[in-house]
Amino acid sequence: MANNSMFIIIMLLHFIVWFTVIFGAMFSSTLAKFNIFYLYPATYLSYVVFNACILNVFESNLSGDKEFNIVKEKIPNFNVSLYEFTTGLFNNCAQNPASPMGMIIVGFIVSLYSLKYIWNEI
Amino acid sequence: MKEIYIFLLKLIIIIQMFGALFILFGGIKSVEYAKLNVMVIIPIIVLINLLPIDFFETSKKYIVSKYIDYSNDNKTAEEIIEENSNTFILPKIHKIISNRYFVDNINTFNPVTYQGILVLALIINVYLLKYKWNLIK
Repeated sequence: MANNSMFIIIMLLHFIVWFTVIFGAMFSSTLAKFNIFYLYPATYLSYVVFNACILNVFESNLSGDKEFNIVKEKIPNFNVSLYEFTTGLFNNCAQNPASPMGMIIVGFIVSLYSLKYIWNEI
Repeated sequence: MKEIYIFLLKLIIIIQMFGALFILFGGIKSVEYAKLNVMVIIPIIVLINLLPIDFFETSKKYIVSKYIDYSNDNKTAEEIIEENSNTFILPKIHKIISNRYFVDNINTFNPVTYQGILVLALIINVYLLKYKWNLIK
């Protein structure tokens, strides 16, 4: 049962992190700067060091008990569906902007342009 | 004629190499370069990457296809490109780093792919803008 709750919490956390990565800068200049100076470098470093997305690893490893798998069928991982949908949109591109690295770049550009044109801090 | 094609191939490799070096470390030279990198060059590269073809890779393959002799040469186009890239030290280092991240044909988290280098360049340039050029408060 604890696994189920943990899975849902990590799934939501993963979604919130990616939403913040891409759109966070539009809500406040502090969040934009937090993204630029801490969140993106930390995400990049975690990819480089672990060669995987840590939250994805947690999500996969939580599928331990049988009861959990039944719940997992009822509550599919919407992050995976969303990821497959967005990457599918850009399948023909030379470099997919919806890949993990691509989303960091898009977030970076959105944050920098928000800092310049919305918050006038550059 | 073959020498001209090899020269063109090496020229593209050099342009690619210096382009990557400029977006990575251009910000150290001046604040204008740092701003140009993060606000103009990198967004343009991202937009170009939305096209269905990779400009540099397609040009390299096209040049090699012009001089490769399939009847005598046992090498593939990729092998010839790699051979020419390996004459420079930076592409060699790039390959060593890439191989560490190439697991089960999945290369998503490689820090030195096109996208990985762009992220690294953005991180370096914004930190330079903040701590070297004091542009971001």
